[in-house]
Amino acid sequence: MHGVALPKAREKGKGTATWPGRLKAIALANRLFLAIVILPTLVVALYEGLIASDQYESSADFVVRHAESGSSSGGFGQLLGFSFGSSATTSESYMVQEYLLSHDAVARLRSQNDLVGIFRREGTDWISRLWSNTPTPERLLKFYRHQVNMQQDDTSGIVHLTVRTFRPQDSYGVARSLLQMGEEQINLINQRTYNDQVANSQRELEEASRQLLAIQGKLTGYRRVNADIDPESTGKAQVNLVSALTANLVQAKARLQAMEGVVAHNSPQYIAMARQVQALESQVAGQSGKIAGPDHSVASRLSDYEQLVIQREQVAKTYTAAAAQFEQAKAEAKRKQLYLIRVVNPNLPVKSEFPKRGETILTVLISLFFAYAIGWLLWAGVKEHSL
Amino acid sequence: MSEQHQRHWLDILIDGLSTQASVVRALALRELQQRYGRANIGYLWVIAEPMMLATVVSMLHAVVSPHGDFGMSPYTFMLTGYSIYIIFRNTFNRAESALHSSEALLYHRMITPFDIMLSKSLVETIGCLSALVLLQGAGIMVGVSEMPARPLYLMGAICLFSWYSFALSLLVGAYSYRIPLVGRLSHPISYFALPVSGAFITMSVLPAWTRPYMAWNPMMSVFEMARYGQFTNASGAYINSGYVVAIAAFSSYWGLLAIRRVRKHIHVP
Repeated sequence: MHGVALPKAREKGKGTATWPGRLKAIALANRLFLAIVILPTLVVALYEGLIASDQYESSADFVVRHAESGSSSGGFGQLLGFSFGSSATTSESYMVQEYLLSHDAVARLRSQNDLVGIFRREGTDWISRLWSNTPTPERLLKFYRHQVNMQQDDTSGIVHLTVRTFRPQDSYGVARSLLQMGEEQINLINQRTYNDQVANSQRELEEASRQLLAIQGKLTGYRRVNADIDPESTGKAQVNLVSALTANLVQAKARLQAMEGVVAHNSPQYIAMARQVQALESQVAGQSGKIAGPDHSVASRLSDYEQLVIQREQVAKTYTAAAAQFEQAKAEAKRKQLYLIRVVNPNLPVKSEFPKRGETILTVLISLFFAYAIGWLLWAGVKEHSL
Repeated sequence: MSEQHQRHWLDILIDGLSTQASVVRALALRELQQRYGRANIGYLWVIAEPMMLATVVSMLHAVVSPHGDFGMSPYTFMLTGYSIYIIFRNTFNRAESALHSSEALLYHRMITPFDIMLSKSLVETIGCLSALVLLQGAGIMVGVSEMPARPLYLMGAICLFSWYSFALSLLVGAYSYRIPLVGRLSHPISYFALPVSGAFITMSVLPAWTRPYMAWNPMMSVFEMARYGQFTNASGAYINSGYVVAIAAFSSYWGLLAIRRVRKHIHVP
């Protein structure tokens, strides 16, 4: 052919013009490719097509929310105008996801829903089922994580839960129990945060109320001992009495003075007046002695009493503040309550969508092809070197 | 009679394909030899080169943002972005001198400019792919990376991207042979393409108003696809593979025409 050197394969093929011979030649020339890429793909295809048992997927969407969401913190991303899609509930929602994929949840499902039985239903192929009848918790957890998946959408915070088992009813049942367990976990967290938040302020409130009661008791005791409800008003009444008496005394004294030159000193009228003045004087002296005398007077009692009153006022103020704080803490705790909202309830699958046969086969084919290409490159280089 | 005729037709196809395969294989080996020679690790440079670049860039970003932007591990993020991007960069840059350096080979009748471009493109793709696989494997072993979540998407993205790069390299190869200016421009273009390619950004971190414009960039879609394949929580909302296929098919068609036309202008000594 115009003196052009032809590749070897073509010259070899010339001799055997029959189809089987030609095919054989092609297969022989590409035997490595066939062995590395085509054969394993065929094996996988056979397994997927003939043996692998159907699996059914049930899915549900839920979201974890605060009762009242605060404004999300602005970060570096917001500064640049990027929306990283962080929401305040992300960590709580991770908490639920973490729990539902934990050994704790698996242990609960194992006893509650017979998880091992679900993963080993009759008639399932032995590659995709759970191998052991009594698996260790670790093994079961690994298998469980393979079948149960949770994925959070970063922008909306919605968690997409999928459960895959060999029976539609099983998938549905497990998905439902998972949602319920998530709700219970959230409630537990709520209870805990509520208790932690409120307990402290409640303790303070109780302390204040105890103090208030004590001081009130003291005050009552004081009143009982002194037989006086309110020394302050008693004192005022005393002062009023003394001033009234003094006014009377002054009046009486003035009348007596007016009588001085007109009426004889020994007339009964004058004597009566003088006596009245005398009586009033002694009354005034006695009553004013009660107000501010040296012992047991109103003044000395008043000072004790006022001390108690001031103490009571202080304690009452503390009590009011503590009560307000308690109310606030309760409101705050209520605001921080979490809710698991079911956006989409689990469905009862009807058609088997797993395993994804075509996808698996194609993946195997392409990755083997890539591996072959890389291997070829390396091998060709090595061969060149050995020349 | 008709059977004979059909066999004849198949004969031609199989013969043609096997010849083409042999030629491309031989050219690929020559490419390896020519570029790296036999000194020190020789052809392994084809893997080591992208590997070093990808490692350095990945490490740099792992240090700068250790917590991982966008909920993805920075090492894996940079690795997938960069080692896929260099498929384009290398193919595109080497296309400029491809025909000039292999002109003499065209003396052989069965070697066409198309074969030369294809072999170069294949070597680049497989080299970068090896680098990605090795580095990803190392990352998984060390624990900074994880297996692709949807391998089919990742592999599809790589195939699509290398096709797209090959189609563009055909164009560059064909036109730069006759117009040197095209060759001069191809280097800057490959640098400018980096920031807008989506190798280091995702659609979701861009401001919303830029997204419709970026969607016109086929590379963006490819990288979105690669991310979707690699990361569990990546969004696949911006993958538009049909568009990329259309662009790549159109470029291939144009490129094939151009490279066929250029053959006439090549004077084999």
